Amino acid sequence: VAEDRIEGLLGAYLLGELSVEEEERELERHLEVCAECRRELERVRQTHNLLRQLAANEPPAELKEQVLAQVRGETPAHSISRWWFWASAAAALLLVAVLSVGLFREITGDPSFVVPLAATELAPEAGGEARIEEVGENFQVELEVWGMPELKEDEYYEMWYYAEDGGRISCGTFQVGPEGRATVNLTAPASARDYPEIEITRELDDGNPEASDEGILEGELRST
Amino acid sequence: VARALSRIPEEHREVVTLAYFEGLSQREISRRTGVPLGTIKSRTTAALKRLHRSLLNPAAEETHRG
Repeated sequence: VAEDRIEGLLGAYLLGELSVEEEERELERHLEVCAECRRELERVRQTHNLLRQLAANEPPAELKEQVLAQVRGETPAHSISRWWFWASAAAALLLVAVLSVGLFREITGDPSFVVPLAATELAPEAGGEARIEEVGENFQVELEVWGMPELKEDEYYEMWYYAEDGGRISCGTFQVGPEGRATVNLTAPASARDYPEIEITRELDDGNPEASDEGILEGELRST
Repeated sequence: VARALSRIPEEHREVVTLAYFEGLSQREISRRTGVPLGTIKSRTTAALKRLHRSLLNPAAEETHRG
């Protein structure tokens, strides 16, 4: 229960809002010893960064108004459709912004690089590619895979930054579609630069946060 | 992101919108909504977790090629 309470502080921590110094120290102490909370922090951080980006691009005025009205206890007419309209508009703007940044980087030759992912003996027909780009403090990873083995209902794939000594960082999880294909966007923290390899593992949703030993794809990052 | 936001519970969407789009502090959100500060903090974390899940699963569904 104490752990639930500490874990519940992660969002406020990312927002820089653990006002009580003690709370922050307590959380950081806990993060040092709890691998699951560290992983949870990385997951929450991905969403946090995405929302920050979205909000920085174009705060949808109507969306704010909508929520504020709900807070005041009003329920304006057409709430759903208006909300959808502005939410879609915001998503479209974000897409344009992301594409523009990509184009700009291509023109200016900003370093992004592609890491080919090779199959292991567990699934020799699988393959993939990770396109990695440094965005601010983090790494944006566009992962494309194909020929991945079909997953059972309680399984998923997970991408890791990985070091020979066994240390690893999770970049996120995903499912695959027909022909074992998927294209997903993941985020890795700045600390990922210390890890020389990428691995995609097949994981069972059993609450165990550690990596399984079922590595399906592997790739090597060249140091730049 | 918008679609993912629409799928999470109302109370989660509210804290996310107020914190990220309205730029309110956790304390201000607590005051505005009349919900205790501790609850707002844990709700923010819960909302980010829900959003993350909501973003991941459909992302894989929608981007597969076939």
